[in-house]
Amino acid sequence: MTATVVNNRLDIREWVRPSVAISISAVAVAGLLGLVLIFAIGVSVPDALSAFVDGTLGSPYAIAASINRSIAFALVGIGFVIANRANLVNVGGEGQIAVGGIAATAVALYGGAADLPAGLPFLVPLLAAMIAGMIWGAIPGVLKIKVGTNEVISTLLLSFIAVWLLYWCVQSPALLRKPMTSSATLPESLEIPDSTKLPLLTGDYSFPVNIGLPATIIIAVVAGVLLSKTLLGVQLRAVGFNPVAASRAGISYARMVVLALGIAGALGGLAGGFMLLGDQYLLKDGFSSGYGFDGLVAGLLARGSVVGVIAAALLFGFLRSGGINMEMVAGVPTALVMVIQGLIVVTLAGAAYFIGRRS
Amino acid sequence: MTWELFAVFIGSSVRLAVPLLLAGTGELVSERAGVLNMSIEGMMLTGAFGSAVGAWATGNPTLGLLIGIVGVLPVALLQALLSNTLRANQIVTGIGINILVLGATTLVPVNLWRTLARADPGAGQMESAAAR
Repeated sequence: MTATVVNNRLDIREWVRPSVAISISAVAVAGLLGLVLIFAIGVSVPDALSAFVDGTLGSPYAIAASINRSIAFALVGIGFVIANRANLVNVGGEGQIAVGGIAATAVALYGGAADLPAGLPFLVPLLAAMIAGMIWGAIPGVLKIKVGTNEVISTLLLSFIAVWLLYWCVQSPALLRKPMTSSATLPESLEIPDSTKLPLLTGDYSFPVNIGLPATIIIAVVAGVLLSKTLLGVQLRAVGFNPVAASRAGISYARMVVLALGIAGALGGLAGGFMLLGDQYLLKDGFSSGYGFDGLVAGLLARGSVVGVIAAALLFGFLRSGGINMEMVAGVPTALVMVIQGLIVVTLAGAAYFIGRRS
Repeated sequence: MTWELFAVFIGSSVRLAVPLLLAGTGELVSERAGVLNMSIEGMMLTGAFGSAVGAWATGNPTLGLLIGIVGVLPVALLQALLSNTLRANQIVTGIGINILVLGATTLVPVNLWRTLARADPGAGQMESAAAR
């Protein structure tokens, strides 16, 4: 690292233009390749394109669904960037979303949250989701400082544990599965009470954006300020650059590691809480549906910038919505949507090289 | 549990451990060179796909296996190009390649064998296997 704190600001100004241009062209190249593939397998390209646009921007509902997806990606991505500032890699977003969803459902259904006074019915489950995610995120931190476990491995494996824990919760009537009234009762929880659902911004179900959007914007701003303007941000960075030097300077390495991974986990749990209380309303198997990994990729591609996370999260959110609609309306196979997504990730990652070289 | 059952259990454990052992050995080699090979999942998928196509096309399982092994090289080259030449983040490229390969190995068989099945009804079996 040659950049000092003084010329950091200049760096940012020089970086913005090429990085934006290169990222946009990488996405465009991947999109073009996707169109070629759609043509190659014999689906009408105009049909596929109009289905994609319909699914992303075609109606207020489509826009809201894309935004709700982006919120989850953005929260996981911001958590990733915060932990990454301390040179930690949190691959556990998927599991943190899952435990967040479990905690939110449990508290909303059986924690008596529904009868609390105004505001609290949904705030308490959200808090529970954050705490569950924070614990799930902090475990790898504790393991790292106590026995030196690589956090990439432990967060990833904890994700698998959480995903199967979720499966267990919705399969077992003793846990969160709804009462079995017939053999056809699905393995899912009851729907949460109306009072615990997140209030919609417009109050209108044709544009179901909930208070998760302003909350996420606030969190993004706070995270940006925290990383660039506060003592904690400097401490995280110091620990990330050189743990030994940081502890000589009086910064506790152990505290920073657990704190950074705990914050990342809390944001992942919150993403799970928002998904459950604002969008899905009941817990079922596959609840986290790969959002944790998309959020992780958003965080990684952003190269440490909160603004970059938001951009990547919006891209993936709209891409997923458009992809689902392309599949339903134009008959484009899901697999092809995955191929295009993979291409975008790979080209964006490869294009980062050119960003670094020009600056 | 009877001893017979126990023997079957041990036998299937060994059988299921073989692919993991091979994949783990590969990961060990790349870890030794300082590359975190997250795309190993995609490589296994490509190998399985290449072997299936190869065995089907040549009618010879050994040749199919060889084709599978050679078929993975482009994926490995892509990973090497991205992570070593372009110095991209190894976790991102690994995840990206996994998504890409999972999509491609699902997309190609379904469409390939659907086309082939029209020309040659014998290939229909492969299509139903691929669609699953």
